[in-house]
Amino acid sequence: MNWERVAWWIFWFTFALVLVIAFYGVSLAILTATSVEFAYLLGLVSFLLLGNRLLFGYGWIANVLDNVITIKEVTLAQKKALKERLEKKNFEPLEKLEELSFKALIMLALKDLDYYRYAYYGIFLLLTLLTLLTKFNLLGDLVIGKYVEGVFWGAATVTFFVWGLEQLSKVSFVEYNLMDIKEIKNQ
Amino acid sequence: MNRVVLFFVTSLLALVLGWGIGSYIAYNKTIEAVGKIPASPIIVKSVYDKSHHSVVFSILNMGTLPLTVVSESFIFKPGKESSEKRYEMKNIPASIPLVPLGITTVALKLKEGTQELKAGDIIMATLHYVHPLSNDVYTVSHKFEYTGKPQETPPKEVKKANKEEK
Repeated sequence: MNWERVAWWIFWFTFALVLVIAFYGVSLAILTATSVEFAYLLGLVSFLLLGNRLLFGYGWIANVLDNVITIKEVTLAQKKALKERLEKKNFEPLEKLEELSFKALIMLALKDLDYYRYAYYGIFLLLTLLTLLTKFNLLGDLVIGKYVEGVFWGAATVTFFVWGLEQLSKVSFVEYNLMDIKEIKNQ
Repeated sequence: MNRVVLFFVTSLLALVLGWGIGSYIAYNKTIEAVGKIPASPIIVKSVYDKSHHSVVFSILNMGTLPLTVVSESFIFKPGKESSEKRYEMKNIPASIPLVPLGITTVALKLKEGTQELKAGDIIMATLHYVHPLSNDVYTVSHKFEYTGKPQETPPKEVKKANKEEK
């Protein structure tokens, strides 16, 4: 009997079950949501779309740095993956990337995310101002004020994760710089 | 900033965020539930307005929905000092919205040509109002006894029944 195969089958079955239950829960939440909760979900989904690049970008960098810090060395595979990502997602020319060190590559990846970061936080700031204006009735008697606030709370949830991952990747980068980790040179 | 500091700052922000979202949803649900409770108006103050020969009521609507006064009736009972006879006025049409969670002042014009109120005169007023969630007509009755003592001046913004305005 091939136990590894059985284990994989159990894993896929559990994974599918979790997916089905999650889908059921999400659709139930949307169907039974009151108008206020629907405004919250709307803000959550739209800002997830807006901050998608940042969430995955910072999450990926934090993950790579965490691996490097754990095994205390930069492997060729990690460096290659970073280069590929910079080329495919950020359209950096490969010739420019070849000569750069791991530290410089991480700095480039962080720098490339800055444009998205400024756009994201700018839009979130505008939404915050609009929410405050409606909260203090400065735009007159707005009936949609409470829905604007719901959208704001949904956006704030996503912004919390964006901010957290950004800080985590930068903190990891500082930690990596302080540790003086050896880097395998290109052959 | 290191990872420990980041962990604590993130936890604090998460607490604040959860608190905000939870209270936002709970607040709006409560307001929605309370808004459906029908409230009856209460007459908190009544004053006789000599120059307009009318009685001015201050009506407090405690609910979150607007009520509408559709008609007014009153009975005049003379006191000992008055030489006026007892009279009744029924179903004076009106259309006065009572603002939610606030006080509306409503004037009840007395019969024209009658003499002004003397101490001891009694006005038994009945207001008929409708609630937006129901087709029924509700009433609130109020007894006003004029004492003749100096009273507070009636408010300027007074709503009157339709008939009297013309």
